[in-house]
Amino acid sequence: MRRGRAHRAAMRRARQRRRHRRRLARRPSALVRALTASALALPGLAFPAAADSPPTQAQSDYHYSRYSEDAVESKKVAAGSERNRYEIDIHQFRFETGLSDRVGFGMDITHEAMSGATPWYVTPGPRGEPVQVMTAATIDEARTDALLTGDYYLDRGKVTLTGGVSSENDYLAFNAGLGGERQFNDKNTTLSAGVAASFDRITPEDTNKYPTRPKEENKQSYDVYLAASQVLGPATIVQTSVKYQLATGFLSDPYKLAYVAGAPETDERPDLRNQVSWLTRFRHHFRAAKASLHFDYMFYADDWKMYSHTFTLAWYQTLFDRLQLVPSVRYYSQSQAEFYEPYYLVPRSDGYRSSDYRLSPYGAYEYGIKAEFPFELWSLNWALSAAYERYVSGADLALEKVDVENPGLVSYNLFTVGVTGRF
Amino acid sequence: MALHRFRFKAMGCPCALQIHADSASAARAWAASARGEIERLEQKYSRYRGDSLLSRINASAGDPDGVAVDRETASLLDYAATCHEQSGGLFDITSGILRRAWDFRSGRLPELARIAELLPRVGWEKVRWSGGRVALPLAGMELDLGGYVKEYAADRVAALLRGEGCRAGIVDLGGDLAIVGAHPDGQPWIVGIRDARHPERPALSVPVSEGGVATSGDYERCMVVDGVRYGHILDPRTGWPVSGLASVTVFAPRCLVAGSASTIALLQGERARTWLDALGLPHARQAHGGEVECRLAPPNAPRATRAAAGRARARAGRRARASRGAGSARAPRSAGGA
Amino acid sequence: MGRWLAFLILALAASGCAPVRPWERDALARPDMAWDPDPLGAQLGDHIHFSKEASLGGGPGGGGGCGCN
Repeated sequence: MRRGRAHRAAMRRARQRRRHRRRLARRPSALVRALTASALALPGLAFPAAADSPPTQAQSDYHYSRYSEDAVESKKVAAGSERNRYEIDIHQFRFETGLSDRVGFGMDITHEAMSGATPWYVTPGPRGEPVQVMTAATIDEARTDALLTGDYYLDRGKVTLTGGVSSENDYLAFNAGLGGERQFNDKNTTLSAGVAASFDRITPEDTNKYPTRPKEENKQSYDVYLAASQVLGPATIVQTSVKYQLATGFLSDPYKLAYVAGAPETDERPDLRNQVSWLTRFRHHFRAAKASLHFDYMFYADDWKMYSHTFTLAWYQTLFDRLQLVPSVRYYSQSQAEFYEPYYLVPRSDGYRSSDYRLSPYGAYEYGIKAEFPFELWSLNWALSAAYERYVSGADLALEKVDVENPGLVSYNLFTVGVTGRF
Repeated sequence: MALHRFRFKAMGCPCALQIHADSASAARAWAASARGEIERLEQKYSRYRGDSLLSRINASAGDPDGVAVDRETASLLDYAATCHEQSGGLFDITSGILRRAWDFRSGRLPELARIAELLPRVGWEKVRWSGGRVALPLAGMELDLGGYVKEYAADRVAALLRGEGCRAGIVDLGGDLAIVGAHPDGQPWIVGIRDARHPERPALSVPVSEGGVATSGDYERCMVVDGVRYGHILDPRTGWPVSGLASVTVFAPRCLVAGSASTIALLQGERARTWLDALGLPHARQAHGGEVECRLAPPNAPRATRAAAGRARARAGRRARASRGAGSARAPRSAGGA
Repeated sequence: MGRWLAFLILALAASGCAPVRPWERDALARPDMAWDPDPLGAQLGDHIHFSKEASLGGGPGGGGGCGCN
């Protein structure tokens, strides 16, 4: 007993000594400050400790991904309906380079080819349970998305300008953004802020076949964000950011219907949506383990009375000084939109209706693993990567109890292979 | 983008420059301006060159008017004054003449009279330094900037290379290092710190991405008389050697600050350890017995364990790129390298 | 949950952690310490989550529109 107490006291003293030593080693003494001030008075030595600069090497990345959704369970789908859901082939290309010691340039191009059936509307089944009706399986679509990024680097910050276009056979969107960041406190604190806007035009297909579909609609969205990051220690950094988005115009889904009092009707949502997301990201490096821990948490809320929580955890493990293995998990839970119902027995007084599974209450978990292997060839630096992710959603995975599960909830597999080159 | 290495001799030391450049010709151009800058400083501040500014100042000793100096020299003298003040008089650029009394190759102690004769001409407080003129009031007094011009030169070269667009590189002037910038992929430079007892191998390896690193050692020149060790670090107040540690390596925002801090640490003699503990800069120190103590960035800094040192040595050996100099830089990966 | 995190962040920021000096930043400079070490992977993940879930992605950067939501 007495020995235990003495041992604990000794441990405490040792801890105090260690803490004391850390303090000593961390705070530069008056002597160091005096010498540094005097040294910085010498010609040429007062350059900023480290100005951020554009990439000194050009870098190019290519990823190919195969996204495939699980087929809908037969008990959840209307008899005779298609069960196979979306398959998407995704090609991503990215290029970034420094144009001068102040200017950086980046380009992202994505091409997706999609095919398969999507949820169309939900009907009540024999026992009142919701049953999914799918669209026909032959939707073949392609989307191409291009984004240009320009960075101008300042001594303690940078300004970023982006412009992009996204095009589908039934959709065209232009977006632009302006952002800036500035470092303070010897680069220990970074504040950033930005604005962005997107202008989208929707021209639904097959309007002859489905006369209730709108012929042409528009929507606009405007974003503002504020972010602050803080270095907490030599291996720890945290960032928190708030983003607000105002979306106006046609926010409904032209291809979805809602089953109201016995008949499928067009999807009708408010033409205004105020959304806020608050994201906090934490990074810590474990030197001994040669690994970095990433933890992200996001809270989201909007004026359709939806809110959600997202938790992401990833472990970046370096092995044999080269190979990187990244296992990750993600958990997501959302509430439903105020006007959502799987189907409507009576119309709502405000006229809104949507049975889109994306507005339904549910939870989802995701896990994945990624491996990256860097190597040298022709005196250039390359890296090969491969990743697999599995996403599963369900009403019983939600944080709060859900009475009725939407039958259209999605689960998918995602395979990715990639190559990176630095010149 | 590839890593280019240049080795050369300057300021009496083996030097090296490692820079990432788009082409060999760009790297050569940067190396040429680096060497030009070092040459300029050597010509200006060498005490071995009769035509140097320093020799002119020393030749004026005894002349109460002294010599007018340019802005760069003025800043260097101001820096020496700061070091003198902050070290309580231990860092003294007038103490070089004490070397005339100490001949470490002879194995004999100097005559006390010889030291007594030199001491009156030692002492920065005797120097008149104001209004852009420096005057050495007594004939036979001398200034010696050798204690910090090399570190200043390393910082100057790093600044110069940055100014010329170089973003990733490291300057090594006889083991005093100034970093231009981390490797292009953001990886730090791995700096090997020489083992004072086995100078051919590093005692430990430390990743550094910014600032400067300098080492001062008391093992290079010394003699043992009647079982007592006399090192070449002389206390300007007594004229006798002080010796608390075999070597000290300091990491600081500038190589110049790292260099003067490591020098002052050795001048502390027996008090070197406590002085370093209160310094507030990351450092590593080696006792005369060979034990290495590390006070690097807490709390997650790499600790200097024997095992780590062993691994560092093994790595250095595998790459057949032996670490050279009291602190010399090795690329942590073989990208574009040897 | 959100309130708890906000408290944690404020507490950490207010605890007066000594600034990390430039020469102590080797760990922070590691590529695997970036907010998004794999920008293409993050981009695709965000895009999929944006089009399959109701939430707006967080973090700096403006969102581009697409017909997926």
